[in-house]
Amino acid sequence: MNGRATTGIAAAAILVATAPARAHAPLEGVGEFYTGLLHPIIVPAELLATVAVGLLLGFCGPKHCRLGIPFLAAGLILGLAAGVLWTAHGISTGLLLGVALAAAALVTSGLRVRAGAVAVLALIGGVAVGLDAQPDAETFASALLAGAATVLSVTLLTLILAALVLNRKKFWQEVAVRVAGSWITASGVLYFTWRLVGTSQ
Amino acid sequence: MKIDITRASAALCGLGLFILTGPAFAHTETGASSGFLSGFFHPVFGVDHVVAMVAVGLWGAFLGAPAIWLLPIVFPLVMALGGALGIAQIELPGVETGIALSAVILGLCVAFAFKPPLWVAAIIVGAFAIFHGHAHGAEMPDAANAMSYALGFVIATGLLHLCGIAIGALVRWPSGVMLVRGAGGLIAVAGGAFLSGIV
Repeated sequence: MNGRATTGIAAAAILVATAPARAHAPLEGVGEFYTGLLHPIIVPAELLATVAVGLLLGFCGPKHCRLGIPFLAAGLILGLAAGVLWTAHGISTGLLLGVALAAAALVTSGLRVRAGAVAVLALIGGVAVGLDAQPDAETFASALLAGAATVLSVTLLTLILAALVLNRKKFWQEVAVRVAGSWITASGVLYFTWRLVGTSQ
Repeated sequence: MKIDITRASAALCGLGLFILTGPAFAHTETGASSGFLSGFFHPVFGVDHVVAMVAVGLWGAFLGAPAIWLLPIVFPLVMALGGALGIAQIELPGVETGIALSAVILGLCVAFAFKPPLWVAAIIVGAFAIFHGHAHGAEMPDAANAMSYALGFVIATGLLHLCGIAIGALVRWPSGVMLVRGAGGLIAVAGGAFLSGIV
């Protein structure tokens, strides 16, 4: 094989070996709607708060769900709207953690609280998720689409979880809900400590 | 300009090899999934943690309700406090000894079918949970996603309890009681081996 052929093959090999340039995160490739839809599911702090609120609403009963779910959705819209005017990244994580801890601790302890109090907690949870899941869109229409998808995703996830917990009839299902609450509480305590002291070390 | 083709192809081949090399992961990967897996496998890959967690489940099943569900709730909550101490780098004396001792004591409780009042069982389990939590918290990798790591090791711990409860469910049969007590004895022996440094 002569030198030119070797050079040609080597050049072709380099061309073939090049990887595609990714200017954005892989999630952004799925479009604004799916980015908004998946954001609360793939961000652990948002997922934890959503699951904790869902567990609490279902655990407390149908009256709490009827009040709490609309409050959660309203909180999400408020949070998303507030995020457009005001960047609150650190605060939103703290809020998410606080809501997750409070809701999970209530489930674990089995304490019954008033529907109004649970609705306020759901509202704060919604605001926290909304602030944290700010769409990084270029146009207002894209941001609106991503925001609507986030509201849909969180509300549906909470609704499904609450419905599942509401339908618990057997003893082990009651235990499973409280165990899940204890896992969220434990994870929340650890993350809270890490945020307080772990990052400064 | 005259280009030496052999040198040019050698340089291009070298460049090609350079491009084809993958990244070297000398440290823990970052991101949510790596943090979760890192946390999840921390208790699972530590045999001393595994036997102690299974013992908690076995003992809970042996004691029956409400211990069967109360102990696996108490453990992660107290473990989180121990984990918080570990994350804060607050020294706790004899962490490894405490972990090994937990396997010995909990294994013996199962082996001898020890049935104390619920609050005593909760205190025993809770006291050892601090050592387990401290070990997980102190060994938390800097690069890991903290929330995912915490979720991972709490869920893994809970699932190990569940394994113990599942095995402990055999106590409803007379031969199952012997099997569960035998398993408790084995856990105590394993704990003794960790304690003496044989393993």
